[in-house]
Amino acid sequence: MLGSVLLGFLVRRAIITVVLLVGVTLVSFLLIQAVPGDTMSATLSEQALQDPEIVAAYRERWGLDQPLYVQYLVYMRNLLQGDLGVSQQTGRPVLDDLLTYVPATLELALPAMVLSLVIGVAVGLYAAVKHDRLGDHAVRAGTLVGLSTPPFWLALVVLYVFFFLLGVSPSGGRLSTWIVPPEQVTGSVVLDAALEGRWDVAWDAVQHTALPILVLTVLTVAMLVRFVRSAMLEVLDADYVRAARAKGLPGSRVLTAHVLRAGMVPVITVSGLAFASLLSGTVLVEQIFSWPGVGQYAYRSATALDLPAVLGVSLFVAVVYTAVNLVVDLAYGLIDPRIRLS
Amino acid sequence: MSTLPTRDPGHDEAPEAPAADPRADRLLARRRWPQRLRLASVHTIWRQPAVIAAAAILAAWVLLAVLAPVLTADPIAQSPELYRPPSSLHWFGTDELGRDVFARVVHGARLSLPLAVVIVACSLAIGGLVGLLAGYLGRAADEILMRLTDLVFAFPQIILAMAVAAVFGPSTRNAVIALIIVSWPIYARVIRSAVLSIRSSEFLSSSRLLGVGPWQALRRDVVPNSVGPAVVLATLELGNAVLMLAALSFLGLGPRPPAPEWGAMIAAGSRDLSIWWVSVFPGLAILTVVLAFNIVGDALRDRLDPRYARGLR
Amino acid sequence: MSPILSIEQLAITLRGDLRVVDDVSLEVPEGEIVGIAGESGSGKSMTASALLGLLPDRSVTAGQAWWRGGREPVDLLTLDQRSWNRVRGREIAMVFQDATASLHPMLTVGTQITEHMRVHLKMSRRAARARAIELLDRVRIPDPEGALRSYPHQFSGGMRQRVAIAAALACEPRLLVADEPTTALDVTVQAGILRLLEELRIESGLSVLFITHDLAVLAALTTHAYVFREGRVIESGPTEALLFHPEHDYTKTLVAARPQADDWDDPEPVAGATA
Repeated sequence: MLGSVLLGFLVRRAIITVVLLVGVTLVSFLLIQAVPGDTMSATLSEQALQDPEIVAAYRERWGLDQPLYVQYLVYMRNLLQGDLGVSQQTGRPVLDDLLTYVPATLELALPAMVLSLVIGVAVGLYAAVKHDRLGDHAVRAGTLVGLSTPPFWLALVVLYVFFFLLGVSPSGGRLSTWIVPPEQVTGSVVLDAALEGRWDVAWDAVQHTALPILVLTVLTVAMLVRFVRSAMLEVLDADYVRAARAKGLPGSRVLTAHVLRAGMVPVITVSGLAFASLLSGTVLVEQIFSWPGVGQYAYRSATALDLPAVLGVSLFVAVVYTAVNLVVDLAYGLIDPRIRLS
Repeated sequence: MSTLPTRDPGHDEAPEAPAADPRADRLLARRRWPQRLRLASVHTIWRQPAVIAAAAILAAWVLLAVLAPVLTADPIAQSPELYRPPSSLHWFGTDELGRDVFARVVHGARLSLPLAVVIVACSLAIGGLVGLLAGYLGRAADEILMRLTDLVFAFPQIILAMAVAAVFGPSTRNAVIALIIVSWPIYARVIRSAVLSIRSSEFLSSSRLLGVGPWQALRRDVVPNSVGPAVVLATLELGNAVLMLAALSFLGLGPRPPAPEWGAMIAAGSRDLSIWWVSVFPGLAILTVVLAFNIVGDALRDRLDPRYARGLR
Repeated sequence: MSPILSIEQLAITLRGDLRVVDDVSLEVPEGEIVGIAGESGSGKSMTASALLGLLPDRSVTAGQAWWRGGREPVDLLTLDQRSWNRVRGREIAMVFQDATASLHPMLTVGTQITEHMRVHLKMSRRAARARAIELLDRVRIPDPEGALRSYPHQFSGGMRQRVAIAAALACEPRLLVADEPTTALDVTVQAGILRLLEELRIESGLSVLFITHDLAVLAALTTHAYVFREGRVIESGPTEALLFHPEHDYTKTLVAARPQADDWDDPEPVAGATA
């Protein structure tokens, strides 16, 4: 019985996810349609437009002579086959481009996310426990400043300080220019170098990740801390926490076993949101650190009006975001017995 | 920084004294005032020094924006004095075209502030309408409208805004449109949840019993009571709009050069770290404006609705 | 014999100079159930909170609360955090008004009954489990072993309060502070809980400080009672005397406002209805 309830929950979530993804593709499709003028002239380069063969092939591939809904179905069919179109800038399929750039972004985003969660929960809990006292006010003030700082500007400032003034950090990129990059296995330069046993290279790569991860973490932590703080405040106020105190449990046990456990449910829910904001942050931060990730790809595509690439990135990010939310919901269901068992 | 008290003790508003401490309030009597009654305590945010400072900063920016043409040099006029560091002549130095950075930062407020207001006003109108309809009509309408907001939420704001701005082409107008498209759903959610909580509360059902029609109830009870959450959100979103607009123009998708937009100025300065003043000052401008909006918004939230807006951003 | 708990001139001031309890003196003799009655906001819950060191942040107390249930008498109001945790749960336990809120929704019943046994009595997991089963059986929870693995939301309101009582009794406390434990329950369930408390008192000599706003409960359960109003004790004495011969005007109105048992036990024919 327990299994069937959990299964029902899974199925419901999966259906919602699929509906959301279809909606996302619809938005992408409509965005292409919204391009003023001919879609083709926006997607194909000047040169390609001169070539009747390319034009004909393009029309056929995207079903441009058909009514709009057929075009959408064609678009969906192409999508399902992994065909996101060809980037004008790189001349390669958008999917291939994404597969190149995504690992670089993850090399920043994943450590930043882990750091943010750890720091965010610790500091948020601290502020909640110190509610309305000096420590709490300091944390609140700090997070407000963090939330109000433009990410790209913060990136620039830390780069100025650590690279230009102090010279302790590289200026950008994933590796120093004189180093031959390791063979791509995991996609993370740090891990790939370590796999080859080139520890100096791995260390060089770590140094390159430090500043971008720092900036991304600062931005995400600010948001997480505020959320964790209010979630924990609510929990600290709850009767079951007073009851735990009344049982004479040591303060540390009350915090970890009772407060944290209950407070983590909303925190896990919001971490999906935090991950999305982190991915958004990469668009701006990668720009400053010349980091060859999805963010920079998106930026270059957007400024060059390379539509297939821009839409490919949006779609990718939406898929990731939706997937993360699905995982979050499942984790939520696993942690909270009221959802799992009712 | 003890300047950010979240709740003041509020001794002088104490016929129901227990409410002075929120936890004591919970322990002694579990009551919750309707939104309308709590609106009355908004003025108490002025007891917080941080709020006064934030309001002063905002007032100063508005004043600077209005008086910019009188106070400063022409923000677009080029001069042969390129890359001059800050001096008594050029307080914030000059940029790559010899333009006065101080003049450009001050004139930047003439762009960012009104545009932020436009973005927030339009998103509030659209999102508010959607939220009111969804919350009030319920059922299918609610389901459809809320799935629509979910859809927009599925794209991270900056990436969707970037895609929209790129599709329509870079310009001030298109950046604003893009930001409205990405920011209305949050209003829809907040207003909807406010409406839902009022819908189920007693005074609405009693007015329904008294024979007040649904539209009249919407106007008389629901709209005025959604004002609190909307005000809080709008204040916080003003700061966010300034940030997002700067981000878009940092990426070259906002106002076209030579317009003195803060984000674009930071982008110009990012090409050469040795001319730090070109990007540091516009960055500080953004920081102060956004921080001020956030402080005021936060204080309002503590006063008006500890619940609705929390966690949505 | 001196009472197990004697409160002398207790005053509690919350943050913002708000005095919620003033000049309260009160005694709980060993093995008796003493009642506190009063409407919400009268300071009765605050008094209970003070006895377990659960007052809101930055509250200030004055007076003394002598506790004689431990090795030597201590003034509860002067305890530091460490000493508190020797008293709380171990010597004095508390049952809250709403068991739905006072049981952790994400921890199993087993954890919530055994965790403080393991801390206070240094019991092994297995021994604590065995005792938990005993306790659940004693508070009449069917299938105690299954109950240990269940979560609070899987029980009814009355069962939840029984679980909370079992958790409170786990370390064999000398005093149970019960803060309106039956207010959230319906009448039949309420009667069961009251009977349980009385049994526990007789069987194990448990002392109970029972807080309620329901005078019928007070009459059924307690031998001695205190009436609170606006943070002060306005009248006290043996419960029977207090309820049948109230001296203070406020107590009189409370008693008068209470629906009399014979109002429904022996309904008088309504005029015209029998005709």
